[in-house]
Amino acid sequence: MIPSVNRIAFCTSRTCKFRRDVDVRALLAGALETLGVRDRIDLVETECLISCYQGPSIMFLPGGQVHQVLSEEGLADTLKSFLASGGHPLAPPPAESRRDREIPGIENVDFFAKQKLVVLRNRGHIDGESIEEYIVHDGYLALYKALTAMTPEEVIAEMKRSGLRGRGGAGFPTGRKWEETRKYNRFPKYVICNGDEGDPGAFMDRSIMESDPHAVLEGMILCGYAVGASRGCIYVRAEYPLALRMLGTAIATAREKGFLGRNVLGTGFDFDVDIYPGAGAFVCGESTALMFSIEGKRGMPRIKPPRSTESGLWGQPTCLNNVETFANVPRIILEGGEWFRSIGTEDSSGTKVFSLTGAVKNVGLVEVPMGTDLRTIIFDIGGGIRGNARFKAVQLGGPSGGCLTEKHLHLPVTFDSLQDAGAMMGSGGIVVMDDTNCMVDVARFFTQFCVDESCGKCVPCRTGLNVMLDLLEKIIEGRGEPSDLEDLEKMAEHVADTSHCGLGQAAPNPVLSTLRHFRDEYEAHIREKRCPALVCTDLLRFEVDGDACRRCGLCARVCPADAVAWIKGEIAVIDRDRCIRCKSCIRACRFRAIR
Amino acid sequence: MEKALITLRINEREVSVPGGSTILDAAGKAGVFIPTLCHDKRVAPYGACRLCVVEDRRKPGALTPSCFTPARDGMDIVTDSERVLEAVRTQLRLILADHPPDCPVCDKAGECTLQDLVNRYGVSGVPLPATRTPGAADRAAPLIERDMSRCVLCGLCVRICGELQGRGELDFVHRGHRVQVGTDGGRPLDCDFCGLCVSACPVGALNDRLYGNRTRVWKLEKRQAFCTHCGLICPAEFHLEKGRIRRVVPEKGDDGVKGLLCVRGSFGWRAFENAARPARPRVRRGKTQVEVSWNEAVKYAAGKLRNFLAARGGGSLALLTADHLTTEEALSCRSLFLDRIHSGVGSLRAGGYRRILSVLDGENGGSFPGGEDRRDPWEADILLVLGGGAVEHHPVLKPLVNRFLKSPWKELAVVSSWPDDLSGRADLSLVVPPERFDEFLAGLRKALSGERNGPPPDTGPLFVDTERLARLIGLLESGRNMTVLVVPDLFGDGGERARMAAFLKDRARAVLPLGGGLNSRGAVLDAGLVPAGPAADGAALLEAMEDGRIRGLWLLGEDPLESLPGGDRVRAALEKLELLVCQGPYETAAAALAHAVLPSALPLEKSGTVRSLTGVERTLHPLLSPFGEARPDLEILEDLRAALGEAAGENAPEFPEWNTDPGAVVPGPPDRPSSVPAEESPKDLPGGEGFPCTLVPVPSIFGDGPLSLRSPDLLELRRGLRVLMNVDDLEDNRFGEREPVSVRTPFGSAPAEAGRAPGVEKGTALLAHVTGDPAGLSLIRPGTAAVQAVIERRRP
Repeated sequence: MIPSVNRIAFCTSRTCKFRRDVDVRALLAGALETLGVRDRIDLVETECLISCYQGPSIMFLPGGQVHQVLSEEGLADTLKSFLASGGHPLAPPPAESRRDREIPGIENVDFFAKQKLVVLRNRGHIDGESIEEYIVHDGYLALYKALTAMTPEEVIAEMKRSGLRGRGGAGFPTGRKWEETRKYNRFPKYVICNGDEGDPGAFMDRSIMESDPHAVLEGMILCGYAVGASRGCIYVRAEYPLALRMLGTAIATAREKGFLGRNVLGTGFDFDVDIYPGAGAFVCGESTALMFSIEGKRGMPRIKPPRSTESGLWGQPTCLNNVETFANVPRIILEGGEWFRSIGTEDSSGTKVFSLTGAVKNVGLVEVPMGTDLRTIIFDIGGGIRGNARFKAVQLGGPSGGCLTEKHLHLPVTFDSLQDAGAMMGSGGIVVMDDTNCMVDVARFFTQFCVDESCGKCVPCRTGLNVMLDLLEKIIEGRGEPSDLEDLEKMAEHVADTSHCGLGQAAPNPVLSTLRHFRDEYEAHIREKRCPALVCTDLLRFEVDGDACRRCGLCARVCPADAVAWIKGEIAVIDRDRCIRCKSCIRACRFRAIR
Repeated sequence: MEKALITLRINEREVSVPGGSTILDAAGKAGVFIPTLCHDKRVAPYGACRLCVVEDRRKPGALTPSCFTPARDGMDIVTDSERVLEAVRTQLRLILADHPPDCPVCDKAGECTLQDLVNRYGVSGVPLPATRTPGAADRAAPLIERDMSRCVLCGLCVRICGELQGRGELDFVHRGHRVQVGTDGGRPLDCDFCGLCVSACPVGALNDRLYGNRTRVWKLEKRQAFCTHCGLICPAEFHLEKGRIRRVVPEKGDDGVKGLLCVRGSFGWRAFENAARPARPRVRRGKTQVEVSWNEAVKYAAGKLRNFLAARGGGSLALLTADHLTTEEALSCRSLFLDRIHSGVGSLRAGGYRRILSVLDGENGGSFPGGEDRRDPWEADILLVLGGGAVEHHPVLKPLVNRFLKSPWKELAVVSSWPDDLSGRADLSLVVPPERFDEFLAGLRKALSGERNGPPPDTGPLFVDTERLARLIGLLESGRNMTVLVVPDLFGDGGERARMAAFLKDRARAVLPLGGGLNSRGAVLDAGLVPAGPAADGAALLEAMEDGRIRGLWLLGEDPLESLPGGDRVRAALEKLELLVCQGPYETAAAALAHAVLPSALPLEKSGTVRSLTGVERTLHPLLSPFGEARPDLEILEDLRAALGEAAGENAPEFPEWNTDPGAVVPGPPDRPSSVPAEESPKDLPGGEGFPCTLVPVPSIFGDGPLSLRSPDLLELRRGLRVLMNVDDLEDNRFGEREPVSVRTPFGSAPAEAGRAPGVEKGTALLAHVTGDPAGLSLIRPGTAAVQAVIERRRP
């Protein structure tokens, strides 16, 4: 039997492991051994086959069919029939079969079909630790092209033509930043890759660094060539050990092959890259704080001017870009700025990677052209809301972003389109919320995050956010007064207006946007002392609503404190003296009868 | 380089400022007040308090922090719109939420920036629920109290300490709302105690402990005067209450920029309150001294002097001055002692400085730049320091050098005989062994004067890393704008480094000798009180006293027992003297042996002119009333002159009955055999358990001058004699930090405390805080830059 498949990629990411902790490599190796084709098929460890919700996933290559591994026997069956069929999808399996569930081909699934892969093109197709595989997939071709056939000015011109804007959130035109850095005639200059991805729920950069580290490196080398730098730094948070390992391997092999170090590709251009692990301070994602951190100082944003392009790391001209920005660069150089510009919208060209999380069915990484509307991302790609809950809000841009409602779902996602509605695209985290999320609680969560992560330098961010947090907690605990909303709003605006860096300026966004779009929920907390989403414990009475109760008794079964008295066919009664307010019953009740 | 002017409008007022100015600068020029809490011109803008926000009419809606935003042409700034005022008020409310309302017990009340702003902007009531309660103040360190519950986190102390003082003792700890200013692991402050952080703190978080809880700010009378601890004579603001000093703070210039002070200026003022001073003149009657009236005392001293001169001649007398004299007093000294009596003249404390200055002056043909030719030494591109201990002699140089180095393209090169503070922060540092230092400089001079294309001169061994030496020579030959600072050793001879500096004079924009006391420069250059005779040098003086060439000493504020190394030899020599007069502000050890004790006034108790080491002339006005019957030295000297029968006029006759020939020394009766051999050769050190090392006496940052040694607070910081060594030596010999040890040299032994100093070579130890310590002084001899020693653990 000669299989048409020559490699099987399997995902090693944490998301897949959390779903099902099996040693996929061992299972695959065993199954292939049994079939006698172990030596014909490569097993490739990869990161995120972007169907995290189905994990652990494997992918047959070439072909790209993704399967979910359920059991050992199932896997053997799958492999056998898959290989026997010559690698083509089989007819749907008989229902009783224990064979692993096959996932339809990419082209047939909205989750894949509606995506456009530029940055994530190599994801799952190559082994990130193998420079040869990257080279086979046109890797370092852009570098060769730039070094041999383009001047630095031409590289910058190409970047400007592409219209690429920084993917870290602020959306500064990359070409202009490079041009700015090139302008200063002070050496050494530095190129910094910002891999300090700190937004809760965001993992775009991690996946890029883990699955395609060479693309990031190549982008950095190209940047170094364009701006006239000879040193690069990758700042990665230490919480990303796999990314650190992959980048380390990539740098070492790239040096070996002559893409890094002295005399890159024999052209006389010197460039080398070092990795700087960050200690996990959110504020170190801010560019000047990040540079202080690399210098070994306390990570605190500094005042501008001068801009980093003039006086950045060690006081030298420095060009700092985000991981995703750099990963875009090789394709732009290779395919041309015009090609890149043809994707996306006029002001925001190219694609954007989002990490889609929360209450959607398909959680995972999503790469779509700029300008795709939220509804497509959430309902077509994300598959809509999980369970029988209803869509309530979508939070974009991490702790600095805002919450949007159903009526904003038609909005295209670009750098500028969401501003009027009070949100921003940010670095690309999308958290979808259903009606079991209390928006006051969501605001409190993000505010707490910013209170903890503020560097503590400037007054509004350090103290103003804390005052906001106090007000939110007061509301959540049922002590809210009608004047609190006005105070909260005023303080939020004050913090946004007078804070120093992006962290403080954007930190009130979750509060401001929820106040704007979900004011009724705040009002319910304050005036009626009621949490409509049944989240805020202090506002719950733990009473059974007789009209809604279907007398199923599930509440009594899940109660860990034996506080629910239920007789078959009767409405349950909660003994509030015994109740420990753990909310198990509320979560269990499918009819929302307990309040 | 003139920068183009920028014109903008601030509150409808048009104002022009040079390019690079901030909006805040422009507002200052326009006379518009903008509130700030974290701004201090001494350090770079920071932008933390966000009180300085303004609105630009061209960008409605946005608030701009003015303290660091550059002013641009055509800006239309509004500082008093309702939006700006509301933002400032909210900011103040936020700051108050994190600040305990403990103003009644806060020393800062009345001069607290926060309090003033709250009042000015009408923030009243309790605006937000307070999160901080008054905390316990940290008084673990001397002199500076820290109450972090009051801290508003403006970061000024952190920046002053790190950026300006270069110390970095204070920094932020924690993050977010828990952020605090603290030290490593929360240990007590252990720094230079320059007090600049206290001077910068806008609230009551950092307090002067000498001032705390003793008075209220509105009772103080603020007087502009000068710090008189060293020769830099920094301007300072003295705060007095009922004629007594309560504290000293850096002077605030006309432009509102605060100045700089060091530990001596900020915390050394209790020397003026030291009661160990003679209140009335005393003369010897038999074996005891008795208090007499001024009239009697002057008559007695004059009579003694006349008899001495008649018997021994002027050449047998030496005048030692501690440089607390004003130029007028020094002139009086010169005309009496140098011009009339032809006595020797010298100084113990400022001896090194004076020798360097006179060599420089001599090589210059007596035209060493005085006050009239004063070029700003900090305008240079290169700062070359010859000799160790520049900032130890003058701690205020530390922030000045740091400020100098902050500008681009500035370089600091230090050639030192020991790893002092500056060599640690120099771009190029050469540490030459102390006993080889002069030899090295002579060789370097030879190398530099060699023909450029000729054969390399034979300079002999140069004792340093050749690569660094090459860089140094490159720097000296680069033709770049250079300032040379020349620093004498504590007790060594500075002649060679003065010759080096004189050699470099043509290449340098300024050559400044350091290490002098108050008015050392004025005394030599303005008053001509130049070193003369054997008294010019400590070693020669001691020898001359021992062999009978010097038989009389007139001490003006000096005390050989306090600042002339030699231990018992010095005492024995003093006991032999036929004339010993102690004229000075303080009670000294030598005064007990004196024939007459004439109490004189401290610099802050008299008026007169003094000149700083950088050549700036300062006028002293009496700030305090003199202690007891103490009188200014000028009055005493004039009375003395009158009593000697000499008219004050220029054409006064020579003293006919005196032998004033400087060469003639009338031999007295043969010397009694001295208990200490005059010729003392260092014996081999007995071996033993201890740590054998080269001991280098170094100046103390807490001051070696007579004033500093009388300040109880500076003495507390000195903590007595210390031997500082390499951390490996410390560990190899199992000396603990601050462990009591005993130091032995061929000359004597003394108890000391072991300590650590960065950069010290293995096998070398620094001997700190030696002046004023009789046991410490017995370890060394004048003129020696280093001595062999053994350090042992002291057994209880």
